[in-house]
Amino acid sequence: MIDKKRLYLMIGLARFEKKHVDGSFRISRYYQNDYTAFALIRNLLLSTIAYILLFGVLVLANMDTFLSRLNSADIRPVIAVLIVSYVIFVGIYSVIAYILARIRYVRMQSDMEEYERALARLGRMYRRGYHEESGESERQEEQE
Amino acid sequence: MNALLEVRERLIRFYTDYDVYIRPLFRFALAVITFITLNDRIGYMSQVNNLLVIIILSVICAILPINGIVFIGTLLIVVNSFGLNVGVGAFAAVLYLLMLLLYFRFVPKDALAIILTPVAGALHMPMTVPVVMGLMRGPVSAITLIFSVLSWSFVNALPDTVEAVANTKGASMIDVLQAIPGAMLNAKTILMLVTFVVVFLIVTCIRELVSSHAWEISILVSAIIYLGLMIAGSSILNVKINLLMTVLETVLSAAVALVFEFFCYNADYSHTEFLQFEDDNNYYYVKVTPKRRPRYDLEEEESETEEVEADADEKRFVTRESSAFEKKFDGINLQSRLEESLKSLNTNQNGRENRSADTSRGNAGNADKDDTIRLDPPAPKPEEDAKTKEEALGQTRVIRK
Repeated sequence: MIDKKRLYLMIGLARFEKKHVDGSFRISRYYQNDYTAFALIRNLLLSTIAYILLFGVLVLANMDTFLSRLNSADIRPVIAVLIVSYVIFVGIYSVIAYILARIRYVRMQSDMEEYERALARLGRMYRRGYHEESGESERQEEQE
Repeated sequence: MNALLEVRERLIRFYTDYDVYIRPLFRFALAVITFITLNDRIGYMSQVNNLLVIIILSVICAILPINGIVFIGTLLIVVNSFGLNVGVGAFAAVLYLLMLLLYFRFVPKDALAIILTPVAGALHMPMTVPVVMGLMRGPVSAITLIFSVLSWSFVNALPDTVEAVANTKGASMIDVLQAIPGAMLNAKTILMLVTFVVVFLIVTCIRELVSSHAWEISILVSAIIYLGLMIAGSSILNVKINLLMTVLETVLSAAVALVFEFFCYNADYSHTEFLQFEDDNNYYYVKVTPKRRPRYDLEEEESETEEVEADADEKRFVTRESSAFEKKFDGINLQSRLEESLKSLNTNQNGRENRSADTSRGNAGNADKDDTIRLDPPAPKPEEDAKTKEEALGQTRVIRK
């Protein structure tokens, strides 16, 4: 006999697993600090690529100005501007990435807590069902 | 209106029944429209400007998630840009990579807008994008619209300006590359950027208001503001626009947005209720707006479906004729009898176990003699009845103490 409540709970759990297979389940493999650190490292890499591309596009759009600056005797201000703008750019994106990583981790924790509660409920249902079945079988044996 | 609601209900029911097939079909149709429109606008690469290739790519998009259309659509733009000029292709690749790295890696769900905005522009309903996004997303998605307009202006700039520069004799790759940003960031793009963002924010603000018909009002107000901004902006920024065409585009976009609203959010404001209650901490002012449903009698339908379900349930069980012993129970509500007898047993529990056991034994004997079944204990005699009542009350009092 199929227990309807247990069936609905299992359907809910399966849907949750399917929905969060790339989200909460992946994040739950990490500690919070590790996950945030990975997010920041990944962000550093991607932000650097984005900065180089953006710099390239800006140089192409203003090629004449850039070449005239390079031809001038002192290129240190250009390098200083590049470094400062890079630090600001990466800094802004790192803050965004850090906040998003923390938010995702907290969401994952609440999702996984709910999932574990549901799993525990399912376990209780199975144990109850097992005891009832075993109790019935013992009674049948006694009657025989 | 009722006929429309019925159609909507049927469509929703049809969708819920066959969503496994409808979703890929929807993705396929969206991909076909998108790719044909893009190829029609910037079909510079003959190898991909082919219906068979488009259908194959659309079939792939039907299997992939919705962002597959974004990926393949972007690839199509980049490949067609390479068809025009290698430098333009490289610029397109860098542009879309930058969009991904700067913004869409944080908000991948909004990425569809960068492909659908050029398509909506080509189909003469550009206002649909900010309005629909305003109805569906929060204020942060204004950044999505900025990238979408940039994508649209890039797609427009290729045939309008860049193509002419690329086909000029003696034009180097640097010349072509330097022409692209200027062609993209012209006065028209700035006008569209401002208009889209303002319309989007207005829709978002009005949609979240508690007032009735908020969604419809937001669509109508956004249409008026879009039209006003386009006319005013064109005169301020010296952008040439076709006034009649702009009005028609606005009306078409508003109509599409209303159809979208009809399917996604359909509140019945005529039956709105305002509730007010409180608890220890707060006062609550609640506005309850039911969803609009077709006007056929829902109760009848529900009762019919319940009957059908009940019949189906009965058919599942194998019926057999009741035995002679079971026939003795016919007409007796066993459950209520059992409950009554249990109650009386509880009442007479204190010091009456032996007596009740005797009486039940005697009752069983009588039952055999009378060939009737009595599940409740026999009615006490008048004298006993008074005693029983007193004892019962006494018992109740003890329990309360």
